[in-house]
Amino acid sequence: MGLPEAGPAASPPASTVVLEDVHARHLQAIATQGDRAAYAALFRHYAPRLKSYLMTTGLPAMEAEELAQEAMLTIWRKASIFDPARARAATWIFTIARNLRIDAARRSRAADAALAQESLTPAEPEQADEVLSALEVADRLRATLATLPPDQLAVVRLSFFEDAPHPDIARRLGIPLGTVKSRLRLAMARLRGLIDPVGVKP
Amino acid sequence: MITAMSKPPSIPLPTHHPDADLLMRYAAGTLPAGPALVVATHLDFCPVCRRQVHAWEAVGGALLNNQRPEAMAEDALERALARLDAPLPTARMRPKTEPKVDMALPPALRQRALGPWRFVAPGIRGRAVRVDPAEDYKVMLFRVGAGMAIPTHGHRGMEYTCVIDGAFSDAFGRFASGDMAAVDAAAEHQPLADPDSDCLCLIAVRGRLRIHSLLGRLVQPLVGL
Repeated sequence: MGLPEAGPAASPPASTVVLEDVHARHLQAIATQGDRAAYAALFRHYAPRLKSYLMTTGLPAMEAEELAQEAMLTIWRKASIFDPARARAATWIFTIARNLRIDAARRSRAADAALAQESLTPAEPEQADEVLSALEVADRLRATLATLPPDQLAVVRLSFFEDAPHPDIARRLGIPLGTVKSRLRLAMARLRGLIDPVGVKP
Repeated sequence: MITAMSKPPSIPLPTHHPDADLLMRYAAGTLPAGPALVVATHLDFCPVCRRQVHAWEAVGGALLNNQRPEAMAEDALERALARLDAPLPTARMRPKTEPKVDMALPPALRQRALGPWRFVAPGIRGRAVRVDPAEDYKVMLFRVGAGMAIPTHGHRGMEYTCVIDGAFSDAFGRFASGDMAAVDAAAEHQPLADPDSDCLCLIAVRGRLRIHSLLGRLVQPLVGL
C-alpha cells in the first residue's frame, strides 16, 4: 500500500510482496537457526498448495501428499542455498517440487536412478544486473498473473503445470476449444511480452 | 538490454535458441527427458535463455501461490516436524559407481551415464546418453569429423540438437557451440561439419531416425537409433 513502488503499469500488489518477504525470512531463519516455528508457518502455507499443484500434474491425492511432504523436507534441508537476491521464495519452492516430481516419475517407471536436476545447486553467479532484472521480471509476471481473470488463469494453470493439450483443457473446464485457444493466446502473449520484451529471438 | 555482453565470453554466445514454448515447458517441468537435456545443455552456454527460464519459473511460483489449497492429512505437520531430525540420506543420491566426470562436457551432461563410443560411419562416432526410456526419446552424443556429412535423414518426431564443440551447417544455417536446433518431422536435412574441426553435438530424437542411405541403413542397428 504505502510502498514507494517504482514500475509503471504493473507493480506488484504490496500484500503479495510482503508475503514473499515473510517467506524469504522464514527460509533464512530455517537456514541460520533451524527455526521450527518458521518451518511450520511455511508448511501451513505451502504444503496444501504443493499438494494441489502436484494433483494438477496428475498425481493421485495420496502420492501428491507424500511428495508435498518430501518437498517440504527438502526445503528444510536446502534452506541454506536459498538466495533471496536470486529468486523469490515461491519460485524457489516451485522448482524444488517440480524437480522432485520429475525424479519421482522417473523412479516410479524404474528407470535408472535419475540424477537430481542441477538447478538446486547454485550455478555460477549471474551478473548483478541480470539478477536484479530477473527479480523485477518475476514481480511483474506475478502482478500480471494477479490481474488475469480467473477463467484465463485456469487455462494458464492447466497449460503450464500440465502441458495439457487444448482439447483436454476444453473438456475439463467445460468450455469450447476456441475459447481455450483465445484465452491462452491472450494470457501467454502478456507473459511472453514480459519475459522476452525485446524479442531477441526468432 | 542484453547484459551478458558486458563480460567478454571465451566463446561467442549462441545465436540459435529454443523458442519460448520450449523454455516454458522446460521451466514447468513438462518437457520429456530427451529434449529437456538438450535444452539444459543449451542453457549452460546461454545466459539470455537462462534468464527466461528463471522468469518462467517465477510464473510457476506465482501459480503455486495461486493454487487452491488442498487439505493435507490432519497429522501432516506433526509428521513433517518429526522427520526434520532424521539423518540425511547419503546413500540414496550417490550412484553406485562414481562415474568418471568428463570436464570437456557442459555441466548438464557431466553426471549422465554415457555408453561407449561406437563407430557410426566413416568419420562419425556416437555414444548413447542414458535417459528414461519410457519417454520414447533417444539421446546420443555424436562426434563428426571435420568436413564430414551426417547422412541425409528424416524423422517421425521432433529432433533436438545442441552443438557442444565445433560447428555444422545445414539448410537452416550454421550452428556452433551452444546453438540449438529443433527440427520437426517433415524436415529432411543433411548437416555438414565445419572443414577445420570435429563437431561434437547432442541429439535427442523421438522414435527412430530414418537414414536415407545404404550406409545409414547398415549402421542404424549399431547405434540403436
